[in-house]
Amino acid sequence: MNLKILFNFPFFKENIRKSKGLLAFLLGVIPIINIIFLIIVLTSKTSSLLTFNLLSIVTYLGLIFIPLALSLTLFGFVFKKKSVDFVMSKPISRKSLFITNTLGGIIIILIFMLINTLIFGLFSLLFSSITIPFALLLDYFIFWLVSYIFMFIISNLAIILAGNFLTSLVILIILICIIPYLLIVNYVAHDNYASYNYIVCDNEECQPDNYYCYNDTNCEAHLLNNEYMLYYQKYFNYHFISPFQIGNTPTFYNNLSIIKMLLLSIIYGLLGYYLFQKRKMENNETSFKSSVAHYVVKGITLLPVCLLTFFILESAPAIGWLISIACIIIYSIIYDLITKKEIYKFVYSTLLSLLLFLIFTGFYYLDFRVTDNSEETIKHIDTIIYEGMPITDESIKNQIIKSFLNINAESYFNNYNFTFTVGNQKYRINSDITPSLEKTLNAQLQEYNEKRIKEFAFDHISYLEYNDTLIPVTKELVSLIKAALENITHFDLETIEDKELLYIYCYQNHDYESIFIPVKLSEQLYQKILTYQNELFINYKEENSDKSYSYYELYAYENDLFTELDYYLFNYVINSNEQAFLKYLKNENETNINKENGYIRIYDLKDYTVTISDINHFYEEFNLYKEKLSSNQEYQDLIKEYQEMIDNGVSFE
Amino acid sequence: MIEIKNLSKSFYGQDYVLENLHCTIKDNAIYGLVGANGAGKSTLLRLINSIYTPDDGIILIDNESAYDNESLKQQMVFVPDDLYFYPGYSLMDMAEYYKSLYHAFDINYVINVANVLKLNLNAKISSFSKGMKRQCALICALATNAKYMFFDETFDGLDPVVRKYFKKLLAAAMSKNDTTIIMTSHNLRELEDICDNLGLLYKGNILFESDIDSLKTNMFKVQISLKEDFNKKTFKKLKILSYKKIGSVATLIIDEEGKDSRQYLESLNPLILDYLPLTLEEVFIYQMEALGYEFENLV
Repeated sequence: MNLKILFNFPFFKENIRKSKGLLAFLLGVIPIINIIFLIIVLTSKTSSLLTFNLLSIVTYLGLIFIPLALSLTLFGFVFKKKSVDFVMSKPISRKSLFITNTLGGIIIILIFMLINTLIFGLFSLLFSSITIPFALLLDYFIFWLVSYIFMFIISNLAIILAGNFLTSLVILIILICIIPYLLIVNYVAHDNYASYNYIVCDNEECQPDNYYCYNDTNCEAHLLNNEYMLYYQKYFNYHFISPFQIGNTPTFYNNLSIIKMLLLSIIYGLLGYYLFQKRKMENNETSFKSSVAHYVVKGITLLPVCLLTFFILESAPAIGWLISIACIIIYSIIYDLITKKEIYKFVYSTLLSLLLFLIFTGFYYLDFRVTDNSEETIKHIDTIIYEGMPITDESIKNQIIKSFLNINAESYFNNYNFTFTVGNQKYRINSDITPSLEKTLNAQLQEYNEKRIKEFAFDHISYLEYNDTLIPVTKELVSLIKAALENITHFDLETIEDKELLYIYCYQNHDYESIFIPVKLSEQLYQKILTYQNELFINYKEENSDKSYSYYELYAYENDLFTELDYYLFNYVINSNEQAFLKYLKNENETNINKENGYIRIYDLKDYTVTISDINHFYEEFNLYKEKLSSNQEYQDLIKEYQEMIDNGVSFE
Repeated sequence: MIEIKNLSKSFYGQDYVLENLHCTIKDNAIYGLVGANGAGKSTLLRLINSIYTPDDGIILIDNESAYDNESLKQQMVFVPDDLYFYPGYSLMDMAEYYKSLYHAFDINYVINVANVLKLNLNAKISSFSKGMKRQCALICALATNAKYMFFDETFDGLDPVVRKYFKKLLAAAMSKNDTTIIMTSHNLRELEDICDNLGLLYKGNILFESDIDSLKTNMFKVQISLKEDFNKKTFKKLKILSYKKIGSVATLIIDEEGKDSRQYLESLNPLILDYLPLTLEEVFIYQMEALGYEFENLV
């Protein structure tokens, strides 16, 4: 088949030309807002990881209206008799017209997505504080390209099916919702609706030390069969039907959704093609040719209307019925006037609307809360997940199950989160565990994390984060990390404080994976990280010396050198000796991994953290600053103020 | 040649607008389609131009099915009664749009005719008057050099001078490209001096069609008075379409069908014998009366 015949380029070119203003606005608005968004990210006080979801916020907002507007530009002529005359009389077949408009629309969306992706890519290249991994850019491009094309195809179908804009909008909403295409796994996190079930425990290892039935005969009957009551929260797999309901998910990105949208795009595209060939072009400026279709669509639009009347009924049961019935009749008339330009079969139409009102109202009165109280005794837990580590060892699993079942056991540690799987089902439990079990689990976790570190894709690191500062990834840093890890086979991560951890992020499998390693793995690595972090602040101060005021907060609580008064005076002392402090920071090139560090948080137009590599040395420096201020009245007043507060019982713990 | 066979079309399952319509339009002619409001003239043109899909029947143009036939549509152009132009477009923009779709489009023709009519090529069409918009549509249609041109309410909104000018352009197009023009109007006077053939659409069918010359040369209005008393039977040798007698003077509408009525009437030694020309409207009205149809809406 000759593509040149199917795709009529001059017609497409003229179509774009006639709507260039609108298209430029529509296709420009999202990239412009994306640029604004990136500028906000650049100038924000705190650095944040640019995830898929964050990158997608603006694009997501345009998901419905951009493809719909594009569809209206290309296919909207079918709504007006005179534009139908104008377009359909031209020497272009229906087949060619449909294919030209559809392919043309897809090309526009492709350009639109390329523009957005290029904007993100350029910002990532130009500004060191924004790093967007290539894999993330690719995910963004693919996911939203497919989503926009899908929306465009169903918008086309809605327009082809309808006779006017309002009806096409209703059909579009129906088409969006009719087949679930976004698979999002979500979690029902209502503790009030925690469910329970019985778990079989024949093994002594998992049988609880303290378990009571509190005269519950059902519980006692189960106990005879070694079945124990287990409280949990269940993970529900929600097949969300539309992008309006994203839910609380780590990432929008979903391969299954992409496949579904692609398949549905093909199906809806072919359906649109067939219907466009068959379309009665006289069907315009009205809803549908068929009165059945008119009633079906009208009935569906009653769903949200009945939700409103449901709230009226809830708040005023008696008068609410009268108001609701009046609302439904008025709506029925208005809908017909808008879509059919006449009051269409008034009696029949009104009776049908009222009948649907009763059905929908009854539907809204149903309780749809999801709980899982069905008795399906759990015979075997497949996997228990602790801190991301899957546990398959039967003995440890039994010990954990025992912890789940124990009631009010003494000398237990509080509230550890576990997830367990039974077949395809996933559950969550908060449980106390014994100190010995905790030790076992942490030892396993240590091994697990070490294994993860060894297997981590260091060549694809996207971000480094140290002490709330995002560190740009350089080849030098990566090789330093790799070299350091080659020499060290074991380190106890549990004993390392947060301020000494370097977080490493890598974008793979459509999400960020992270590990953490001690920043003091090697002298060079430590020095590089600290130098970058401190210079970030020094440069900021030098560039904004005239307009910035920094508030300094010291964090060195593990070190006993600094008194409570020192903490209280810290901001004043540093501000009064700011130049000397900056000079001190500049000279912090000599780092020693054996010396204790501390850090200072700085709140200014942007937030910064600087690390003091030798806190003892800095203490001496700080005392020098204080000495310089000893004759300062304001300083003395602050000391006096502190003393008065202490005398008044104010605690600075 | 356009051949229409058994063409039927109804809207929304209601009564047929066109029902089993048969019609043949010869090449290189101007065919006037007349009919009352709602007779189905515009629907027929939309069906020929594949805008609407027929419920039944077939339309053949040069022995090819016309429906959605892209190559055939290169040879067809349609100017509807309710004109549409893309928002913000000038006549030049429209010409370029047509040029992108019609291979034989002559943009110089648009420029020349626009200059004659003093139409600003670069002004927005939306700022033009109704007549000027019609001029733009007609110029673009003529510039396509299409073999078949369809005009619905062709001269609607045009002043007499411009109307005359476009009639000249249509005639020129016909002689240049052997063009066949089908135009509709509910006003017969408008078509009288340009059409070769006329078809009357009535209640979804072509009720009557004929070429204008034979219509005009065969039918006469005759006023006659005889010495003796007379009635309609006195003229039984003639085909009388209408007979009215007021006092001693009778008015006859005669369809001569090739015979010479004057010779016969003179043989009756009339006191008064006047042959008056008939307008096309009158021809149609009397023809319809003869067929037993009410034709009150047409004029």
